[in-house]
Amino acid sequence: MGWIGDSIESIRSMQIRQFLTQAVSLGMIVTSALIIWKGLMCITGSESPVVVVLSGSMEPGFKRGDILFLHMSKDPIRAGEIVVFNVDGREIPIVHRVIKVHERQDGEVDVLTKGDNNYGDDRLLYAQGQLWLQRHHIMGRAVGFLPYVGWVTIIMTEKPIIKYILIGALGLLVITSKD
Amino acid sequence: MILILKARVSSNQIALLTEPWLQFNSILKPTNKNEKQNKNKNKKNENENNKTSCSINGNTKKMHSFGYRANALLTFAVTIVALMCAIASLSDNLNTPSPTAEIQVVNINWFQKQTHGNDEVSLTLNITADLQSLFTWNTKQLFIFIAAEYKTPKNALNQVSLWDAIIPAKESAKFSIHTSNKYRFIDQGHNLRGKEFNLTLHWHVMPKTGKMFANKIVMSGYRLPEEYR
Repeated sequence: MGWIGDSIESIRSMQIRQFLTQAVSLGMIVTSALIIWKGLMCITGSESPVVVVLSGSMEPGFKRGDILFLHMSKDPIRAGEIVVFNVDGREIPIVHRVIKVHERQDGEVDVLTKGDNNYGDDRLLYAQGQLWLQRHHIMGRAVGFLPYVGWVTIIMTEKPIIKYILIGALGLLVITSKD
Repeated sequence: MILILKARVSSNQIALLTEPWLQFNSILKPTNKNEKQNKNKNKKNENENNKTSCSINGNTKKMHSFGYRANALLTFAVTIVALMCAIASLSDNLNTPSPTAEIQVVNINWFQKQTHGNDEVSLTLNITADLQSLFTWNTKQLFIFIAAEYKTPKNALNQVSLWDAIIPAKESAKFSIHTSNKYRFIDQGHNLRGKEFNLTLHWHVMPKTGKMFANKIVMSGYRLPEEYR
């Protein structure tokens, strides 16, 4: 009887230890992802350093599902740059190219944008009566490009079931992997 | 049955070689804990073997090694792809392009003051350019545009895009085109009479993957007429 109780006790302690190890390693994964994201935010100076292209308005340069790396520096905005901007009253930021710039002596700037694949400029997308974008609308400029990778997030946001299946499968894997 | 092999890794470390992940785990832990774990593992295995049949045990082991291999393969593949992308992007730096361009203002089609006070002008341009040297194997397309750039008392810099184009292939990067301005040339105010301006050909290289490049050729010495017409 003694050794059975002993071994049960040891198994229990093992399981607790394993559970703790798993919890810690899971926490490490989550926190390291967070550290990378926040670190990128610090380096690039942009609120969202990586964005996924959702529309075809910049085709054939950027297709739906491509990933853009943003950078927000103090450098003045110039025509031709691809910027990501937020319009008042719209939730989703837009990635388009700057086609007109009027910069004042004091550095204030008026910017007009247009999607490469759109026929006209973006004044129709701006808030009612807004003719120009100012500096504070702009979240960053695109500096780098990675094709296709953004499809993962598009699929996950549009088909939440797949997201839950994925999370469930990963969770199961974590729980079962270290028997 | 799970075989447990003991192997000496170093003078004070003992590694389990049953399964790769276990080996990994045990290397990270000091010896006495390790031995304890071994004992625990042994006991646990004995217990398990009493309860469950061998076939189930064998199955789980197989699944594990499959998962492990799939994981390793995926990690390796992703690493290779990332490395290739990085190299492709870096290889763009080896290219030293020597593009040439020439722009002529053939005609001022009309030049007037809008009802709300902004000057607007319509131009006809003749654009000749050879941008073939900008293309590398990592180039998806070239976005080019021509901007009129000038200063006014109010604005330190005005950039007004007049015409743009997407060049998808090297073959079409040498061209000569006769066109009126695609976008309206409107000033913020009425400063365009007799205004000197630069015409700048900008290009943005969009890569297949990686960093985007941009540069320009500035052509100066253009002047708008003194009177509206």
